[in-house]
Amino acid sequence: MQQKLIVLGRNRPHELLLLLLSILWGGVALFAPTPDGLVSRLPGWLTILAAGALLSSGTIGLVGCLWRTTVEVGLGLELGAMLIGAGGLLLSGYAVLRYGEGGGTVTAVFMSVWIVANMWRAMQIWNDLRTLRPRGG
Amino acid sequence: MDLATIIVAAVSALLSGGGAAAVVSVLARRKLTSAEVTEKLTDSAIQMLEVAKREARADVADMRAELAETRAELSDARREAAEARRRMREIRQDAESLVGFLDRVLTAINDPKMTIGRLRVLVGQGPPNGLGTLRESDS
Repeated sequence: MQQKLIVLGRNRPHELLLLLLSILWGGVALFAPTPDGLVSRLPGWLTILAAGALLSSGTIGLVGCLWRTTVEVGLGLELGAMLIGAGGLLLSGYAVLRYGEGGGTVTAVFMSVWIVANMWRAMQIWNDLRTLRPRGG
Repeated sequence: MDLATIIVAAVSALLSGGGAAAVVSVLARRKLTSAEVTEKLTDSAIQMLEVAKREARADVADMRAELAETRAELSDARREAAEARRRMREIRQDAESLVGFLDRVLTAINDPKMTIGRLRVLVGQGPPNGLGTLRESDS
């Protein structure tokens, strides 16, 4: 007889740590930018946009992951964080490819994988939320 | 700013905007849900109160009807008890009267001066209330 294994729990170490990294990265780029920082190489307001996106994505995502009161709210926050993070990472990855010097490809690939993972997780949450919401509601 | 940067920035802004919209939507929906829940709870409580009020009114009406019925039964019972007491009093009076008459007859029988004629007259008179009256034909 085939048995289904349901894994409960929303604490995914990779996701939580990457969200934490987003906070650090965005915070540094926004409040303590270094001249050689990848995000800082973007022109003008794009730096603020990318850093703000990373910072808010990490913060909202962590809050969503740790939200225990209502599942829908936690998942919704996490979904928003994934999309915001994807936007910030896209700009950052573009900055790496466009303005990076040597080794930028590896970093760009890593960030592309991160973007894909964010979008993948966002789709998962979207499907979960559709299942959770009552029909006709 | 070249075209590639503008495109990437636009896509990035689109993604970030979508995410921000999702977050705002979730928070707004949460407030709406709380309001809906409060409204539903209030409606439910009001409905429960209305039902309880209707049931209480029906119960009170039933109890009033039962109380009126019980009062009527009590009144009948009191009337019947008074009637029974009255009849009991009459029976006791009759019995006492009869006992007195029998005592007089017995005294008369034991009297050596008593004659049959006087005894007939005494028995013919009977008790004061007419009970136990012996007619001439009965003797």
